[in-house]
Amino acid sequence: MDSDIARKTFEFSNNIVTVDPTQDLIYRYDTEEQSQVNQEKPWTKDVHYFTKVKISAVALIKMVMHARSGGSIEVMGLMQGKIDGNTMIIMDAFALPVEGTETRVNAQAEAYEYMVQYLTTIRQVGRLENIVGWYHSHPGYGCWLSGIDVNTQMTNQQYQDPFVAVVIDPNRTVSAGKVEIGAFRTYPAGYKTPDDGPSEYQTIPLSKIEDFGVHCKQYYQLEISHFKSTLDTHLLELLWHKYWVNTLSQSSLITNRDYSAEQIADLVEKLDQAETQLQQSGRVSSFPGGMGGSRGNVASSQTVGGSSAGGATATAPPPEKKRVEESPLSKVTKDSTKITVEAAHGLISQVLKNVLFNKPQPIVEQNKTEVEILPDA
Amino acid sequence: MTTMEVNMDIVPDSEAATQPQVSPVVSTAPNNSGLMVALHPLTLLNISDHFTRIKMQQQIQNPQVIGALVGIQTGRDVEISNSYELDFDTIDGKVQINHEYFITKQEQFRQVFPQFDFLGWYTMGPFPTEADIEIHKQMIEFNESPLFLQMNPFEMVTSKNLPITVYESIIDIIDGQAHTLFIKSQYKIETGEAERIAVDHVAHTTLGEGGEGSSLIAHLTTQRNAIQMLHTRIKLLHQYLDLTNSEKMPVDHDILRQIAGLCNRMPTIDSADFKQEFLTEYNDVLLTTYLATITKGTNSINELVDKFNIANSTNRPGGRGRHQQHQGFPNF
Repeated sequence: MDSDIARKTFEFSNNIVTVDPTQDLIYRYDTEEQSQVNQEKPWTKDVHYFTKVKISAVALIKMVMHARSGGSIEVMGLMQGKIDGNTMIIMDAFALPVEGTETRVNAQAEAYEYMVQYLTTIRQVGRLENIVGWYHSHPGYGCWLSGIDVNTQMTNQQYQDPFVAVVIDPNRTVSAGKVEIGAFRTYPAGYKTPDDGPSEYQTIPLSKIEDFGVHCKQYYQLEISHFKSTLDTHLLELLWHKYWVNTLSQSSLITNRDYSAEQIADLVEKLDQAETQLQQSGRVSSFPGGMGGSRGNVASSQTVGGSSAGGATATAPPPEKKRVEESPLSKVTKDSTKITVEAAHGLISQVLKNVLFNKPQPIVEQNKTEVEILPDA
Repeated sequence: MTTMEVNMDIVPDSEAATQPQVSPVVSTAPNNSGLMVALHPLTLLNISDHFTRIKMQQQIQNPQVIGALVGIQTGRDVEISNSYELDFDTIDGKVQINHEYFITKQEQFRQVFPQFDFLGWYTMGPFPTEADIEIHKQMIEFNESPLFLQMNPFEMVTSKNLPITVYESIIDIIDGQAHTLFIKSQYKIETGEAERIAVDHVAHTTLGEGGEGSSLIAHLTTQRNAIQMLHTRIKLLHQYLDLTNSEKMPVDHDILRQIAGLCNRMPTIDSADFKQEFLTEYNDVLLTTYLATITKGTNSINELVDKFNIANSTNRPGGRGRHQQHQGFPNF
């Protein structure tokens, strides 16, 4: 990001204003408009009404930092904002003094007093928005709603709608180098989703995968986008001049050692499970429209495979269903690829630093490629 | 352009500021308190959010915003991590901070972040004024030596440096009377890993959605940007050395010492231990890659065999009586 060019382009194309009325219009809170929307309640008519979430820069950073500060304990907080059509806009977030939110349904109840007090005080300084959602962290196990979360959210949507649930994984954020965040809304109890489309695959540790699978159809994901004010944009550009050092100096391999070790251990368990599943269950192969995920194990089942496969697959597969159920093995493969990619990224940073700072070669010798330099070490 | 760069960058954040300092309440004495202030980007974004919000709501050109800074102080190291807004009333043109509000808010903050203390306060403006001194005195009740941070929103677009100044307060005897004056302090920006990623994410995402092709590209781009900054800085130093060598610029021995120190630190770590560790880590990652590739290969073979199975077994219900499904079966 060449900030010089960026700045000049900015000055060229805009008047120099600190607060751009168009871009920053989102910061204006129109009480009347909001109360009108709250009375109409268009979301009661359509279960899938809200499809997008816009999160402000400040809210995002606060949530990520709060989640990270909790370490391996789940933390939660509330978000303030407003509604705009079928987008929920989140302007700010604040933390609640409760921990370990995955153990009980209404952890929020403990923090009611705090919440009420916070709301009264914050209105005095000009933050007038209402609570539109809650966020919590899933340290290391991905962004989805657990059974308890689904219950909490269903209750919230019943009594406090409009409400959205946001989940952040601080461990994955640091290891992958990008923010791991998801926004969800639940369907009311008993609602059957008409579209059984496959959701994007996520790596989930073995201990949690059952919880995930049971409830994953009870909610849907909203699209997240971000926004920031003009002033924020300027600030961020200038900040970059200062924190680029940290980009180089921080090493994800070292900060994430525990987490990566955990991931690999989990992968091993999954592999074991996949193997036993393949050995035990039938030779039914899975193909478009078929069932189940077990397939013939390469080594042992081939000899028996031919005979029973014919009988089991006699039923004609319904042609239009494009649902491809993945076998446990291919899921494991995806997980292992993910772990490797992250580790490789970390290593790339280390190698770069090594070349930069440990090998002061005179310019004459620059014809050596980076790959060749390393074996010399 | 290049000479201008040399001038502006080689005199970083020190008392010799580029803008003329005409504020009567800022002391020009050198600051040797040794206080090192580390600022987190979250604080700055919070302040900017506060300002934008108030401005949009009240629709005035230059609203006054006041808030508190919180963080951790250990000895001479101050780390400002967060900030929040303060309520104030203007009585007779003087600003009165709402004490009750402050106490309540501080309590609340403690519940969620028990390790943060009140460290100072902030406001917007180009340079400190008498009014700021008054407010500062009110702050002294809560913290004996609060810091004062001032952000100048209007300077932001034109300057390459962060338009933020941190002041400490000192008591100076002028004409026999004790006055409280501000004195500039040095500060640096510090981020935790998660904060850096979040800030980066927000900084480089467009208003719509910038879908990148692969995570590798994103990762390499960030690294490349950082290295580019490093490169620009080094080029600058190189230029400076050239100019002093050809005597176009006066020699500053302090800077030369620092540059020499920098060069002496290369290579950074070159011991055998480090090489050992580095190669071990390298091999670990390669091993992981290898294992993942094997897993992938196994999966592919598995799928292939299954497809082969299907292809052969569907021949059978065709009723042609071909017992050939065993025929083409490669027995592994």
